[in-house]
Amino acid sequence: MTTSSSSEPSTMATLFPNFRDQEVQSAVKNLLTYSLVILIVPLASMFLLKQFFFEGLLGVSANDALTYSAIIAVVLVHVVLGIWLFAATKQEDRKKRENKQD
Amino acid sequence: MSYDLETAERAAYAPFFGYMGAASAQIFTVLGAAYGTAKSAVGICSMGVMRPELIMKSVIPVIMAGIIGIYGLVVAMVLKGKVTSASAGYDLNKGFAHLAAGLTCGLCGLGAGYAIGIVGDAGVRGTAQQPRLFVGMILILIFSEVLGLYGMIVALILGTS
Repeated sequence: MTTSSSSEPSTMATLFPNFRDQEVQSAVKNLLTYSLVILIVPLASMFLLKQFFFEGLLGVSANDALTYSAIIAVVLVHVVLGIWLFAATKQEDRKKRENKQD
Repeated sequence: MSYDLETAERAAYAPFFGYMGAASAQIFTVLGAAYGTAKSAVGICSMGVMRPELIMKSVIPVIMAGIIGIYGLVVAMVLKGKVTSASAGYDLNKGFAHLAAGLTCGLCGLGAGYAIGIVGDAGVRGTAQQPRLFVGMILILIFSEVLGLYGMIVALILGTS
C-alpha cells in the first residue's frame, strides 16, 4: 500500500502492472490492429464489392452480386485469419530465438 | 371440392417462411458464437493472469467464434435479398427452401460455436503450460469451424437454387 503521493504509481500502472513491458505492449498493439482488420474486412468487402464491383463494373443482378460478394467476404475473412495465425506463430519464434541468444 | 395444388402453393404467407429462414440463420449462429466467445474467454482470462504476452495466440478461439457469426450474417443477407412478396411470384416452394437454408446455417453454426467454445477453453489453458500444444489446438479449432462452413455452403446452395 503506497502512502506518499510522490512514489504512488499512476492509475494506468496500477491497472496494468506490466503495461510498460515491451513484449506486452507490442502484443496489445498487434491485437488491436488485427481485431480492427478482422472486423472491418468482411463487412466492407461484402458491401463495397456488391455495390461497386459486381453491380457497377460487371453489371450482375443484385441477387447474384450479393451471393458472389458474400462468398468473397468469407474467403477474405479466412485470409485474414491465416495472416493472424502466421503473425502469432512468428512472434513466438522470435521470442524463442531471443531467449536462446541470452 | 378438389384441392387445387397450384393455388395452394401461391400462398400469401409464403414470405413468412423466407423471413424466418433469414432470421434463424442469424439467431442460431449468434447463439453458437456467443457461447463460443464466452466459454473460451473464461480460459483466456485464467491463462492471461500468468502469460499476458500470449494474448495474440489465445484470442484465436474468439476470432473463430466471430467468424461463425459472420457466416450467419452473410447467409441472412443473401436470403433477405431473395424474399419478395407473394404477389411478385414468391411461392411456398421458395419459402420452404429459404427456411431450410436458414435453419441449416443456423444450427450448424450453433454446433460449431459450442465446439469452438469448449476446445478454446481447454486449448488455451493447455497452451499456457505447454506451448507445443498450440498447433494441435489450431487444428482442432479449424476442424470445428469447418463444420459451420459446411452448413453455410449448403445454405447458400439451398438458398440460390
